[in-house]
Amino acid sequence: MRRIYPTVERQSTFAIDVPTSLIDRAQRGDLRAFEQIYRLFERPVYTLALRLLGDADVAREILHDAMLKLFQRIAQFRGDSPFWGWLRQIALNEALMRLRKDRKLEFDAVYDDIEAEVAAPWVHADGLALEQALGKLSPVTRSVLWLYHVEGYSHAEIADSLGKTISFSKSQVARGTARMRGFLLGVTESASCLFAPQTT
Amino acid sequence: MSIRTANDLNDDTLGAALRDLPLASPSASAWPDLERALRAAGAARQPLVRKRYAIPAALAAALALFAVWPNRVQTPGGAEPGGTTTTTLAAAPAPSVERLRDESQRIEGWLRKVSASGGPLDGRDLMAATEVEDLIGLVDLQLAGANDASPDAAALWRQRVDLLRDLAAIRTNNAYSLAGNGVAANGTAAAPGTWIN
Repeated sequence: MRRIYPTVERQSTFAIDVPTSLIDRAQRGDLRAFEQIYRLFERPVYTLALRLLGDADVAREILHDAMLKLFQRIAQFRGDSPFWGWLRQIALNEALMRLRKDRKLEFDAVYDDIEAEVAAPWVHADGLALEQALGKLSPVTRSVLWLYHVEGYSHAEIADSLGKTISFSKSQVARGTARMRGFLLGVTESASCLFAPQTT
Repeated sequence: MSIRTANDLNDDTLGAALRDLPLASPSASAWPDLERALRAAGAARQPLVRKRYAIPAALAAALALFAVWPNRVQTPGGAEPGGTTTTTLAAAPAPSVERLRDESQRIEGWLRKVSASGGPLDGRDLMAATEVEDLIGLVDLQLAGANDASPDAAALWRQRVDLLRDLAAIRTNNAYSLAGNGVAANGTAAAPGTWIN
């Protein structure tokens, strides 16, 4: 899987500076350094996995697997990109692989029929309602929406990681946004469809 | 069905709302499982002796070496005419697997005595002892897959002996602490040099 880095940073939850000395210790196999890095990134990795996969148990598995992979490969880290960006890419790859493995490849193909003039309901929605609405999206649509809006990935980068086109990423953001609006306004769900994954 | 413009749908306010969601935490930390996996994969090493134990461990190791060496490393000629044992450090060969195994058993025997007669370890000592015991367990796992002829066998046994000495240093430190506090402790077992004789 190719490594991609967002071109537009939107204060990713991963954006934590890790001291070089801590990375050096981890590269020498210091277990306590591993633990410190784990503690720093436990919540960002878990949150990313939870948002993409929508399952707490699976998200914890992704957290475990991503961290294990990170530590097993940490000697390869050369410092030519931010450490957190490298870890985020590992976590994202793990989550996307799990989506493919579990065949959770549904995406939203239909717009909810909402009047454009309706005010954005998420402005006043509480966090729980927003999370519930997010959870109702299909996994791929939710992933695209999260990566674009929260992690700051560009459409090109999202398309690359999913093996889809830029148009696909744009349409998923648009449709996901429309569906979020519909869910928060209590509109009946629209249909989802499946796509066959393209190998990258 | 109406199609709205991209600007209308890609509402930045949604992004702001999503970014405001709090970070989630797993119900249970994944670290214990991760730590086990790292140890099993050999990806991690524990600092063997923390600063607190560095001096007692070095002392114990030096005393052990001093006391054991004359009985274990001899020149091919063995005893001198006068009947005393000759020790030639410069020419000393690396300890064999058999000798390291004996040493390991000897220290383990001492540790058993201390455990039976000494008091409980305090929190920090217990944590350190547990970590060292975990590492010994890992070495044992590796030893289980290697025979004495294996090139790694001597290094593994050496590592096991070193870890046992670290453990002995922790126990010794505790025994002295107990004695200093007036808590009953086996004075013989508490002496750092006793486990090597």
